[in-house]
Amino acid sequence: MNQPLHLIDEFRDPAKAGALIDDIRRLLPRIERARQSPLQLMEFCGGHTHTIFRYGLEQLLPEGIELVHGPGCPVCVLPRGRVDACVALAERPEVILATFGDAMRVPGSHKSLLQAKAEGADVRMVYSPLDALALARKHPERQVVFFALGFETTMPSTALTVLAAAHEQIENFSLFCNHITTAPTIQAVLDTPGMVLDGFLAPGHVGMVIGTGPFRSIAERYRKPMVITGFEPLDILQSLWMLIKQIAAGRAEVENQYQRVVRRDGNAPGLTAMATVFEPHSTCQLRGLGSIGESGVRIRDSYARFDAERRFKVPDLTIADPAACQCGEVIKGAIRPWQCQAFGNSCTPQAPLGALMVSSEGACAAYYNYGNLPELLARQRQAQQGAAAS
Amino acid sequence: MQRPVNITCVIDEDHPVDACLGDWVLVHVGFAMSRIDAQEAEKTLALLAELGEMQQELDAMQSNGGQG
Repeated sequence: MNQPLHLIDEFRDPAKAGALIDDIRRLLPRIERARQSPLQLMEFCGGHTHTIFRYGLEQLLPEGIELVHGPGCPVCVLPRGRVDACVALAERPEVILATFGDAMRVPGSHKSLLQAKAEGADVRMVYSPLDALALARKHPERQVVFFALGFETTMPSTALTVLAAAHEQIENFSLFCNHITTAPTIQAVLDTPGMVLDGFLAPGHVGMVIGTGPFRSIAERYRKPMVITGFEPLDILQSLWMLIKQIAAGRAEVENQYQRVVRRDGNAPGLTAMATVFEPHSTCQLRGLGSIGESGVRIRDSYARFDAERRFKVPDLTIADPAACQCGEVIKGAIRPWQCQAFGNSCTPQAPLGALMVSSEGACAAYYNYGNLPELLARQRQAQQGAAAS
Repeated sequence: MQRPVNITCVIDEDHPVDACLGDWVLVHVGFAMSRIDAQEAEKTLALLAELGEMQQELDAMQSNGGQG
């Protein structure tokens, strides 16, 4: 059976994109705020950042709109101490450490998982947590640890994998749990001093799991419009248009652009599995955003035997980012990637210093791979010379 | 590409396993997470097509106004 066109290709139709951009242009002058300084609209999710850069959407938008790239990239907000802890787990001789591809390249304070693998640690790249469970079945004499990370999009899959392990009584499988929840992270961004955001593109795949409710309480509390957004270029443009219509009308509501995938109540079986296996964790460290209350989750006592941190002695480390690295400022939207002195110099996708340069969803990697690199580096030098002169 | 996909999250009493044949689903890390609603997709696209037509009319009115 062929792919039905209306599910992917039609959401890349340039004619419809043109109509949306024309109408954004028509609406923008009606917004007083946009006439004083550009509207700051944040796409929270790294998947959206990727689409925006891949299709050059920022260049299509009229002046008066600035996109701020948010912290919604799981490997990008992972503190270095957690990478170090994961490397320590991987270096145990009995352990097979299984993880997704982009997590392998995130630098810890000494090395990444990829470097640990080159030095002999048994690190395996998997496509699904179920592949990690299959490794445990295949190697009963080893301990398979799955490096679980991600927002709510990924949580049902890890929870269901733990439930499958419990059901099959697979005892040599555990999770190194680094999941984080979206709503407290968005609130941390909004609580950052000096943060001026006029609206949010909310993450569609998180919405698919948790539904629209959690976003509604943030929109009400902070009076910020939010649109739950899909991942094709037209999805993003339509959502920006919806945000601008809300701002023009003085509304701050949650709207769902991604109706074809996101249901009001989210995904019931996924939410049930998550609630069975995980419980909220008091605080969680996020790179750039610091400690965020209630943003982490941990494995409930009833599934403690699947918790790598209770099965093994895992070092609990807090390690500052390298001094030259300004990932934290970029994640908060306080500076643009090229404004970091390391960008394109000591930090490149081939040799990343910070996590934002690692993942294809990271803002720095997006600027590096899809932006006009010579121009960005020229602007960086100019800013540097300006700072030196003053 | 062929891969086994876990369908726990897209089945319920109203949509049992048998009903999944022919479904288009969104797959994330080996799990089907949502059945894609083709009708909603059509609605979104129809709305955007309408916006395009409206814009053309606006443009036409403006250029007519300019002449008259």
